[in-house]
Amino acid sequence: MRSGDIIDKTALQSIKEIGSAEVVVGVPSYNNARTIPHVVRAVSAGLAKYFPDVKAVLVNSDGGSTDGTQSAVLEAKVEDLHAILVSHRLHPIHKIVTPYHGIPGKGSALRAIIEVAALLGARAVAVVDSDLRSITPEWVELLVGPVLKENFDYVAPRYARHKYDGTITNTIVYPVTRALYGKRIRQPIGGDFGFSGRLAVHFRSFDVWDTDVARYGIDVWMTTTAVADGFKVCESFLGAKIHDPKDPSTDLSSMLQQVVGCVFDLMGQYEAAWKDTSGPGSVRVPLFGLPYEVGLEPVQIDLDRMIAGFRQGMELRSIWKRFLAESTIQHLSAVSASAEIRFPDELWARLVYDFSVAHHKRVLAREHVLPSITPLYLGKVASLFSETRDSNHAEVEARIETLCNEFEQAVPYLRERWRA
Amino acid sequence: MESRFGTAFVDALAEYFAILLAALPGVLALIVIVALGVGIGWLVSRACAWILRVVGFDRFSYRTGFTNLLEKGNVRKQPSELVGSIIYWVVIIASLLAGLQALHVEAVGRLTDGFLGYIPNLLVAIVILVLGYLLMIFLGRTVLIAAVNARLMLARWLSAAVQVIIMLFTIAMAADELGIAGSVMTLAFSLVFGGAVLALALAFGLGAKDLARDWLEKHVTKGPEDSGKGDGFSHI
Repeated sequence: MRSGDIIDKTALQSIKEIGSAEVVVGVPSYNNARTIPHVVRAVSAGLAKYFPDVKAVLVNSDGGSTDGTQSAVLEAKVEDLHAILVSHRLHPIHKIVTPYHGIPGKGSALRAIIEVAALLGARAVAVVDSDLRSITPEWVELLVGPVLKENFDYVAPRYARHKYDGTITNTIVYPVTRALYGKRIRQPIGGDFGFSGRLAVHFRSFDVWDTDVARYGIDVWMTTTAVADGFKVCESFLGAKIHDPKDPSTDLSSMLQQVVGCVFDLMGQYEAAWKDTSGPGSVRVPLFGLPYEVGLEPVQIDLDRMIAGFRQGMELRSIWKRFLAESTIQHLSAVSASAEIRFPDELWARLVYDFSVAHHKRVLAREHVLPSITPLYLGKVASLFSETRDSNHAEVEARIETLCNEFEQAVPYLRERWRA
Repeated sequence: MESRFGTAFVDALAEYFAILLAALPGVLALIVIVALGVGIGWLVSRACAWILRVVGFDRFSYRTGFTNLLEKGNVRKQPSELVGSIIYWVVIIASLLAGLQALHVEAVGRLTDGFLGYIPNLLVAIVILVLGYLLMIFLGRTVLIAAVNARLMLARWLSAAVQVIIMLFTIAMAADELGIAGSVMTLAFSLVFGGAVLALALAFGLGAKDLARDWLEKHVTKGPEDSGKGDGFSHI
């Protein structure tokens, strides 16, 4: 596809005038006029403070905002650079504001950013969300630095999160990506990341931009592509991520269907990366930044409601029977009937793999396979919450580590089912 | 006397041979047409089964639950083979009827004309029944999953109700196509469906509205354990 079909003419003209840049920082947006000025200021300050000699461009890829997001980007500037101990930059920071073309969503926004980066010949690209309230200038250093200074190709974010946050990541996305592709990327769907120009060119060569991957799963696609295609990967600790609440109308079942569906699709796409690899296991990747823990203030969890959802889910037995073994269903019935829900890790790992096989082989309509995992997910999460009620952050991480090991041990089971 | 008997016998024999000779081309034509029908039927059925297998009809049937239905009916063939067999027998019956017409027997002619004229209705009715069954399975599962995920306490009943309505509607349409008590089936469907809607409307709109509300709160809306509160943690 031509560049003119991805970004608009004004942006192309700006790119022509700028010529080239070493660093591109992309900010995808849609009606974020309230929060985006802070993000732009933090990025500008970060570039000025940590990369004063580097020619940099800030790209706002907008999905057709009607609240003045684009003008908010152009008007935002750091009033007093001395206050953050920044010397004068050799190069001004250019701004490109472009509406993206293609299907609505973060995927199309990223495609425009990648296109700009490729046209400018950027060595490093960072992408940050436009609704961030906790971004600091250090995020730019942590996302761009490993690429420019240490020659990494992909920088995944690691955030300080509450022990109960990120349950889909903790119980499905992280264990599966780690077990199959062998790299421990703790937050594969983080939202903010950095990558090299080389990887930008690689991303650009894919034809995923008009699919569900672009709509719902671009983050996990980028992480998986970087890891499975053998690029040099690391993590950066960014601290807490505080952002505007997402659309509350998105229900859990749809969320699971979108995220887990993308993970399962990627399993099929990158089958060669895990199908014949011998022996389970994974390795840590280098971590930049200084990790710290966040407080464990009580959060509202309705465990009874989750358990009731899991128990009621046993009504889907007739559907699961189409792709789960009878012994697995009996095991689930026993777990559901017990007074205190304890969902064994081994059972959960095998269930997730069974669902991935059913999704891949289209044993049932995909509209039926993925939503039917929701009650089981509720059961697993309820079990984890109840087991770690009195645990601290490190103990919860150790518990997730145990779960991940089960996923790694169960990979031969997946291979066998996948081939059958 | 002997001569009269001999003449009568010879005449009868001559008439018999004359009839036999007159019918012989027709009988030969019948045999040839049926033999051709067997050969063509075998070829067409094999070709259809192969094409269906290649385009993934067996997998589609498994996903939609059609294979399961066949297994319940003790049919051990793959769906593609079953369709092939049906085509084989349709070709044989059609060639048999075409062959019988070659005999020029009036009663057989009327029978075959009637049967051949009925075949399109029969095929349409079969297609309606198969599509109706597939729709019933698909929507039944969709409703069950959505209702369970929404924590509706009568999820299975809702799913079953949707399936019964679709099946009744399908049977009424198929019967109408076949001309078998079509009006009775349509009337029965209208009565069941209309009655259910009327009962619900009355329950909501008239004196039983409080009872209906209590009943719905108790049985249909969120379960008793459901506090209705949102999650205090992020799933992603």
